[in-house]
Amino acid sequence: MSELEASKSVTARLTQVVTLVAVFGLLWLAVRVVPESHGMGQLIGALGFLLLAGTLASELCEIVGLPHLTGYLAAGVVAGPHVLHLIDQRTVERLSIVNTLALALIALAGGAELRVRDLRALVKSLASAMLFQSLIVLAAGTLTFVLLARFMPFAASLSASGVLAVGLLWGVLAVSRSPSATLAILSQTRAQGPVARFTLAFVMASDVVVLVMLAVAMMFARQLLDPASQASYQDFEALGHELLGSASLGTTLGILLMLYLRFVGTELLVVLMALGYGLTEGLHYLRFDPLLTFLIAGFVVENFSDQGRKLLHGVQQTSAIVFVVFFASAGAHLDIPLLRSLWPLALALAATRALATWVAHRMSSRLVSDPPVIRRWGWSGLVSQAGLTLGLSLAIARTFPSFGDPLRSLTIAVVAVNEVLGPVLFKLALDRSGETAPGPGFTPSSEPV
Amino acid sequence: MSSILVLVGLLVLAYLGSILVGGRAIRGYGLPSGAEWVLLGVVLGPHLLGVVERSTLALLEPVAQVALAWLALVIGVDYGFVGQRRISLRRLFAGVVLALGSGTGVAAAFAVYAQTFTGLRGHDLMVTCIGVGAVSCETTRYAVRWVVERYAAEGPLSSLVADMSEADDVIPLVAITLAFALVPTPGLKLSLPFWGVALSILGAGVLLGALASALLRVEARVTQTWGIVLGAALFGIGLATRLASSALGLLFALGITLSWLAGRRHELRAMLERTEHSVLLPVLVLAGAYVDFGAPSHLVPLVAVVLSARLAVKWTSGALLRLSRGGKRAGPLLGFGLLSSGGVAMGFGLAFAFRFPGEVGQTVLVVAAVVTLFGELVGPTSLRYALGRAGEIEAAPTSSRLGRRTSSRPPPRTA
Repeated sequence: MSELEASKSVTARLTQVVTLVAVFGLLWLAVRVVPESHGMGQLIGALGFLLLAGTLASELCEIVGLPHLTGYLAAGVVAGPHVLHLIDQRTVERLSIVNTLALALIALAGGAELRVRDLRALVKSLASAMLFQSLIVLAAGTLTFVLLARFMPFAASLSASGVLAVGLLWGVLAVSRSPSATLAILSQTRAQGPVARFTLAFVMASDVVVLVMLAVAMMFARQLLDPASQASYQDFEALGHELLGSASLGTTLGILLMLYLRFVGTELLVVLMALGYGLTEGLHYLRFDPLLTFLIAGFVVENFSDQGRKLLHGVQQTSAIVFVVFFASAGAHLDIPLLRSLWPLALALAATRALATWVAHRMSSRLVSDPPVIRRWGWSGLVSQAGLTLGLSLAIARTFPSFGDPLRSLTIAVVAVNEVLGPVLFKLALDRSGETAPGPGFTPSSEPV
Repeated sequence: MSSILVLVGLLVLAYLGSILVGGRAIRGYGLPSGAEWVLLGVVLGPHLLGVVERSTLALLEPVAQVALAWLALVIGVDYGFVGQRRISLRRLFAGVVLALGSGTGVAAAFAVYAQTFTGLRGHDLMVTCIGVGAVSCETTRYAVRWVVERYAAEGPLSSLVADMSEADDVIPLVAITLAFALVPTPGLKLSLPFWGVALSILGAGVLLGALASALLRVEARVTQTWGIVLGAALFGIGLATRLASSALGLLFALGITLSWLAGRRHELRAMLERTEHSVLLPVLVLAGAYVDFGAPSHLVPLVAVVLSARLAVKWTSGALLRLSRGGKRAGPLLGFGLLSSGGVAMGFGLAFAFRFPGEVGQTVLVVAAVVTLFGELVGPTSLRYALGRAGEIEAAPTSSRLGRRTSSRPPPRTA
């Protein structure tokens, strides 16, 4: 536990508890007094509520050493449509407007955190881990799915090759990680060290690898589901277009950001918001990947200029608030009834995935003789899953409508488990490996975040 | 037009606003009240060129509402102060009374016009009168700051005018809260009179402010401070909107409470000041785009009545201020120097246009626009004249190397 956390007095904690209860009480009263409310006011109120309640809940999580992210999620779950009904389902859906900005900031920060000199030192570890994680988790995920398929009603109508096809897609989903959860934990703990660097670099790089794996898996799945169909390389063409386009646009954006930071450097918040919303819209139109584009832009600024710190500081200041709403709304979005109905399957799939991740990490670490701290804790940051996995499952659901929706429900349930447990595990690992910064850093500034 | 494109456009305006209004290098450029941005909005809006369509404006309404409420929060946090200096209770009271008198005078004149030329009666008439009074009573502090900074004015009159322009904001904010509370909240499960709704809204602002203050007293980190302030503000807007009441009143109450209880007024002010600059410009442009000069019946008599009434009440205010120690050397144009109106009036007008679509809201917004544009023509020049006459600025400013006009008066002695 950090010095600042430890130094927080009982009065401070009591104030936070009382305020959290009061904020919940105020919304509860408002919902009772005016049950029906329409328009954007509800959305704005929900944003404010989640920001306040998430911030307070995360502060209280510090007492027991849990990550802030758990507090954000908990605030969302409790206020959401499945527990206290203070925020209804429609409002939860509309909260996704924050995700656009959040993902852009996450990717920018992720790219800016990747330094060539660090990557060079880790290149062997990363390459080995990427290979082992991709193959072993894919194989374990596919196998587990095939074995558990008879407990899944939607798989009952599928042939053996069909089950294998869906299992393969599930395997790819299992390989995906959560850049947002990784960055949220690193941003909170300000961890510096081999585990933090390894996890960040791996998670960011695996984003690209998973996209390629999904394209390959979808091609095989099509063949397995319908052997008469012709092999199509359209997915690869689209993927190539997406990757190259994103890389070139990301590089250009990085150079522009570099110049802006060098010669202007003010009002970064407004610039980041305009980029987050405006450019993401343009990227969707061009069918480029916003996550990759912003990631590369951040990487370019960090590694080809001396403006990386400035960018990172600006993004971190902004993201500290965006993360709260992003994860609190993710908490409100958690489908508790679905999790309740699918929990045995979800738990089995999540446990197998975590086990495969651990095994793959031990094998790759041994092969390249990773430092002991990476060997011991390097796998812990690879368990979290969140929005990226859900995005991939949505792409699968669109391509394979016959089983896409139930598979997506299953994915949501598994992601719920990983989203809650993964960050706790990662924070624990960073604390245990001694990489967590001694204090969250009080840097008074009048700069808007 | 895509809403994202317009949102990005607003962000660009926010960026420009922050640079133009807040940037040290070019502070003091542009028009004092920002009336040119209102005009830009009018020109681009659906009633003139149609570059920004009506449907796009509707999509941006929530953003605009947040921006307006945020301005009210900033006003609340800064209420009772001019920079670091606390306004004396006597001046605060004088500012409030003069604003109340100005608002009541213009509202009464409007009531006569409305009875003669429009079909507004009863409830609608009362709401419109309150709205017209609210947007006509204040003197924009932005214009006063602009004149004082540009001409490096310093002295008792500068201080008096600055105090009056800061103190008068409370009247329109309370008026808006009352006007919004006059309309019954749809689906409200409690039976409350209009003043009960208004008090609940102000009370909720005070409660949220007290909660946020308690948190700020135990939380020193900047990011957490932002989370608390932003969260409380957005939550407050949500509560007010749910009750179909004024978010501006709630956030103003929240801001004042924060300023009093959190014990970090200077820090909060410094944090919020930059956002104020960013928010103001888009609000002015959006408000301009919403203005429909064709909406009120008989525009010409409306303009004539409102402007005559405002001239009369402000001249009277000036005459009263000249009785005070700070204003006695100001000369007869002091009252006209208080005619400047801008961001706040346009913001309040826009809030009315959102809440009461149709003739009521548009009449208030048109009055706000007219008052702003007219104030721009008369206010700063008169104020400059009054300050010159009081000996607080040189009569003829000189031009500096960068083109910025500055006073040739030597800087005040600091010792």
